Amino acid sequence: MRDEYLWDKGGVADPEVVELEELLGRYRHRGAPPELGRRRPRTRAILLVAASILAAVSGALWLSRPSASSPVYMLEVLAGSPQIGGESRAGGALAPGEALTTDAASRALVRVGDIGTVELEPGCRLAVREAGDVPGSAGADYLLYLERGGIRAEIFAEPRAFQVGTPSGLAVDLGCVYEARVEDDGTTLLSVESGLVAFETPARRVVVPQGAVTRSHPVHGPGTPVWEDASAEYRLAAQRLDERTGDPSANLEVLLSTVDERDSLTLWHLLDLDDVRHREQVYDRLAAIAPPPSGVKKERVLEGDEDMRKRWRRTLSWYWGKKKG
Amino acid sequence: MDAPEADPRLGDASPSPITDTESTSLARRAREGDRSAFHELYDRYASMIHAVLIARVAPADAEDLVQEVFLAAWRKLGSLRDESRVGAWLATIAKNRAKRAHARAPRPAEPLPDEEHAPRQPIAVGDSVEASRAALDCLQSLPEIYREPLAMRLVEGMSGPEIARALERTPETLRVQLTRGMKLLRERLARRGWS
Repeated sequence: MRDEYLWDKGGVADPEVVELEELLGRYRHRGAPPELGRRRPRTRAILLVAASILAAVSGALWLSRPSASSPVYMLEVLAGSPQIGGESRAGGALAPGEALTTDAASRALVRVGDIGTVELEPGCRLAVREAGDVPGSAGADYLLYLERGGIRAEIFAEPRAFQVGTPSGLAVDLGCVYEARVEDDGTTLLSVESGLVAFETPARRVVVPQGAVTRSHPVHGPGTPVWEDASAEYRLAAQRLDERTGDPSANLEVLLSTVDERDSLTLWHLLDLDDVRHREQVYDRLAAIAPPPSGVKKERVLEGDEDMRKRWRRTLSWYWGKKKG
Repeated sequence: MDAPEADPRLGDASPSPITDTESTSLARRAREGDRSAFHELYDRYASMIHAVLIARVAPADAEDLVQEVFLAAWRKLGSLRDESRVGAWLATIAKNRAKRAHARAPRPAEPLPDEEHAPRQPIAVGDSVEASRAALDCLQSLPEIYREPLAMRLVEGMSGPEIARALERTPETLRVQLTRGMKLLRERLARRGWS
């Protein structure tokens, strides 16, 4: 019976079921387990008990202590002599307002609560901030500020729980592993190894999926994301559009000439170009890759309707998980 | 949550990784902070949870939400009262996460009332990516009772007995649902030019 195959893959194979297995099998789960850090619930419980005892000894101090749910940042030295406030530290907690610096011979790791880690490269300065200190970060459970240098964050938390401010904008973790580097002029390079990161300022928000990068500037804001394997010409065209340098039509032409469906990532972000004629060109190219969903109107998309753009993005994002064709 | 009663009709099924005493033990150890036990739970249930999610959301979101589900589970293990139902508990978290994902950004592929039975675009024969996407669209348009088991069977490659245990349905019921769901899926695919 053909149903036997559907039931337990026994009997005569049903060719339709086999074909559907092949078509749908491409979506089979292949992810890795989340990084749980080194959290052990009992350890936290013990720490809380210890904190309570300490609080009982000094009542006034207790009132000023962070609550049990306050973010906890723990330093681990990986190499050299990382410093906090000009003093070398071998480890311990980082408090809001403190900044951790690594010199050319130092590397450090910061354990962020029970949600992951942030590794600091040499030549880095990373400060602990409180939610709201950086525009748009009011909802963060954990907020750091990368003033210079590079970090690698491995975070598995609720979307928006972990955020990193930079001179160019706010990197908002949506469950991922990523690297961020702030250059001397404040330009921020962000590349995502897994998951998804949003990079935001009050003026613009870009989403950067796994395998993509964005180059953001303190003046020009979050950069249009491109794939890591994009050509230098393609990257430069995107950057020039962001920075409003060169001939925008010529730069856009480079981006529109792509034959890679994955580049809908870049194009989708260009739906907010200044010139409506350019936006229309982008719309038409995107529609050729994946027609907008029912109910999504061209006029509304071109006018900047966020809901309609997001709905289309969710269709286009099918291509963003593909490997280069 | 109450523990599900053992179903003697499952006796002839091949041993399933879902809802067994080992999972119960793993859940108990994970609740006590044992990360390796939690990772084993992940290995056992990730595919099932992914199927629950991909029956509702886009593939890229499903992968992300699997991470969210297990991370949330790790945090909330203390609220799991009945370790023997850890699979159902994880599935509940997954469904809630999928709902929240919809609330944040409604998925366009979800059929509107007037198009539920008339998907828009014919499947592009020869383009396996398009065909896969269209097949998933059709699967996601099915009633929930058929959607989940078919996602487990066709996407994740689970067997009927495994799915029955995962969804806590009897094998007879699940078998009927798989067959009916497959019939519906064929009909909807046929409307999109798939043969």
